[in-house]
Amino acid sequence: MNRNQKIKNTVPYIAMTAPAVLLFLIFFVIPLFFTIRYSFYNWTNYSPDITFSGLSNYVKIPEDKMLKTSIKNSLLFATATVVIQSVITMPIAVVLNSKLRGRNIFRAIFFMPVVMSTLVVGYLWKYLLSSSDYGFVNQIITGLGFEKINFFGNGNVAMWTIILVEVWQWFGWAMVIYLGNLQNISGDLFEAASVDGANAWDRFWHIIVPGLAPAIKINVVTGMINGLKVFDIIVATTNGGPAHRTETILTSMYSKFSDGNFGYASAYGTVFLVVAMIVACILLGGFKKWEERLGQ
Amino acid sequence: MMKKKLAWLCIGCMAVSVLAGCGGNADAGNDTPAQQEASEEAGEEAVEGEADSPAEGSGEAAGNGETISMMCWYDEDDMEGVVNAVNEQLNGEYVLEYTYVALSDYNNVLSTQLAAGEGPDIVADETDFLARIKAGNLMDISDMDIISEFSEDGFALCSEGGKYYGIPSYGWFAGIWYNQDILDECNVTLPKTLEEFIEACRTIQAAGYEPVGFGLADGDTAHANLFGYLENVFYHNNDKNADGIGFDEKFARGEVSFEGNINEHVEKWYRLIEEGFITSEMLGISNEEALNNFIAGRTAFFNGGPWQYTSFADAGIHFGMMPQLSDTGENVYVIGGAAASYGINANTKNEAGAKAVLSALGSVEAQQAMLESNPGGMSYRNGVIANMPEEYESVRDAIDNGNISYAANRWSVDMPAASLVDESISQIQGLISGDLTVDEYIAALDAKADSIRYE
Repeated sequence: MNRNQKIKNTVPYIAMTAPAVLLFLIFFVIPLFFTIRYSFYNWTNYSPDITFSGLSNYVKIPEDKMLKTSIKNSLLFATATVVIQSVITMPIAVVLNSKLRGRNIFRAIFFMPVVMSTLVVGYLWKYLLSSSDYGFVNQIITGLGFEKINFFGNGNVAMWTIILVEVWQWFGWAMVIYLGNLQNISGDLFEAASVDGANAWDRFWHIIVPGLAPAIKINVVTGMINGLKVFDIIVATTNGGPAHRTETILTSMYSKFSDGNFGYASAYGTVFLVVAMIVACILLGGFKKWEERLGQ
Repeated sequence: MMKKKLAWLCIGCMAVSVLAGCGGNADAGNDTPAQQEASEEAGEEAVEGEADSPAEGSGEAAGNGETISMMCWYDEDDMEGVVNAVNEQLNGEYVLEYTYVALSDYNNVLSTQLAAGEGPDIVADETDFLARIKAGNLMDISDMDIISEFSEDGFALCSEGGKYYGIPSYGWFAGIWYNQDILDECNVTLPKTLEEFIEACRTIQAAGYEPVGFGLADGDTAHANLFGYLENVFYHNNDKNADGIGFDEKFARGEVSFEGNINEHVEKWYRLIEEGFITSEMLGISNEEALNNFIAGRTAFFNGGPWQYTSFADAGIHFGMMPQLSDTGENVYVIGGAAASYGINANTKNEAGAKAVLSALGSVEAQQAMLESNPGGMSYRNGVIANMPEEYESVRDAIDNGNISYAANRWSVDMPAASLVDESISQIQGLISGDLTVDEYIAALDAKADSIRYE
C-alpha cells in the first residue's frame, strides 16, 4: 500500500471522529484551559477589570472554611456510593445473569431510574421524603407508629439520604456493566469448578469476582469520579444544607461563583481537577496491580 | 468500495446534523407558540402602523417587531400583565420577550451571561444591581425622560454617583401573615411584641395548630423574621446603636461587625427556637409546603409579603398581615424597599429597542399591572394608584409612616448582599438544628462578610 492510498484510507476515519473531537475540544478542553487561565486572575462580577493576580487565588483556598467540609463530604459521598452500589449490584447482576424467569423485566425495572434526569429524581425524593405532612415515606413511618425521620433536615442523616438516592438512581447502570462482563465469563470455568467440587461461594469468589475485574474497575473509577463531582442531586435535595452539612466541592465552587468571584471559583475548580486526577491515578494504579496479580 | 461510500455518507449525515444543531433561528425556531403568536400579532400591527405613520415621533428607525429580551425571577403569571402592557405600547415596533429564572439560580445565570458580554437586553436585579453598575454591565440612562416620573426613593438600588442606571419595578414589603380564624378560635388577640407573640404561639400550639410556618429547606423566611425583628429593636428604637441604619454601611465597608452588637437581640429572638415554635423538622420542609399549610388553615403565622396575597384570597381564608416582631409594639417596621430594578444591558445590540421597552416598563400601565399582581405593593411611579386591601390594616400605619427598611439593601454598597443573605439562611439552619450557638451564627456572618467585600 503506497503513501497516498494509506492517507486515502485514513481520511474517512479521521472525518468520522472529527465531530466528536471537535465537540470535545469546544466543550471540555477549551473551557478547561480558560478555567485554569482565569484561576490566576482577579475577575469578579463587580469590576470591569480582569487583572493578573498570580497565585493569590490559590493562597486563599486553604483558609476557606468550606474547603475541609466539602472535601470530606465529597469523599464520603463518592466512597459510600461506590461501595454500597457494588455490594448491592454485583449479586443482583449474578442473579439476573442466571436463567431467572422474567429477568428481562427486572433488568428493565432496575435500569429505569438511570434514564431519568437527576434533578427530577432529586425533586421526586425530596417530596417523597419530606418531613412535612405531605411526605409520603414519613406518612407510612408515622402510620406504623414510629417517629418521623427528618431525612433532609437532619445534618447527620441528610448526606446518607442523598447517598441512598444516588445509589437508587445509578445502580441499574452498574448492573448493566456487570451483566455485560458476566456474559463474557466462559461457562467452561463453572463446569470445571463443579467437577472440582467448588460450592457457590467458591465459584463467586474465585471465578466471578476475578472475571468481573474489568467491570469492577470501570464502575469503581467512574463511580468515584462521578461521586467527587456530585452537584445536581445535592442542589435538588438540600442545596448544601442544613447549615452546609451536605456541601461538596462543586456546590462550594458554585457558591464562589454566586459570590461573584469568578477567578477564585476557577482556582477552586482547578484544585478539584487535581484532586480528582490524583484519586483516579491511585485507583487505576491499584487496579493495574490487581489485574496483574490475577494474570489478566 | 461500498463500505467507503457508506462511510462518506455517514460523515455527510453527521456533518449536516452537527451544523443543523449549531444553527439557530432566534425569531422562529426557539419561540413558544405563545411567543410566536405575540410576534405575529406584533408583526401585523407593525405593518398596519407603518402604513399610518412610520416610526412616529421617535425620530429613530422602527424596530419592525424586533425582540427585546428580559429575564427576572418574577413568575410568568405575575409578569403577564406587565409584558402585555409593554407590548401594547410598543405597538409592534419591538416585542418584549420575558424569561423566568428561579430566584435560587438567578444570580448565577445573570452573572455568567453578563460576564460573557451577553445577557438579556433588559437587566433586572435587586440588591446586586449596584454590583452590576460597578462592573460596567449597565447603561447610564440619566438622560431618559422616564427617570423624572419616579420618586427618588425608588432609585436607592439603581443609582450611583448621581447617575441613574435603572428604574424600580415596584416597592415590596414583608410582614407576618396571620390566620384570623385560628386566632379567634384560640381566643388570641393580635400580638404586638415578641413576648406577646410567644404567648400567642403557646396558646395556639396547645390548641393543636402549628403556630408559625417556616419551610426552611429552601426558604428565607426565618432570616426575614430575624432581620425584621432586628429592624425594630436594633436598627430603630435603639439608643445603643447611634448609627441607626447607618450601621449597615459601616458594616458593609468592614468598619464594624455584627459581633458584640446584635448578640443580645438575636438571643431574644432565639427564644422562638428554644420554645419549640421553630423546629428542626422545618429544615426538611420546603417553603412551598409551609405556604400550603398556611393556606390549608393549619398554621397561624407565616412570614411573607404581597406576592402571596392572591393565593390566600383565592383560598378563601380569613387572613391579615402584622408588622415584624418588636419589643415594644411602638414605631414598628416591615422589611422591604425597592423591588427589582430594570436597567439596560451595556452590551445590548438594540439600544433603541431596549430604551423603548424600558420607557414602556416605566409607564403607568406597566407599573399598575405590576401592582395588580402584588396587591398591597407600593409604587414609586407618579400616577400609579396603589390599593391597600383591608387585610393590611395592621401594617397600614407602618407603611404610611415610611417604616419600610431592610438591612440587605444597605449591605449592597460594598458587598454582594445576596451572598450574605444566603449565608444567613444556611447558618440559621445550624442555629435551629443545634449545631451552632447564637454567637457562632453571628461570627459566621462576620466571617462571610469579610470574605465577600468588594476590593
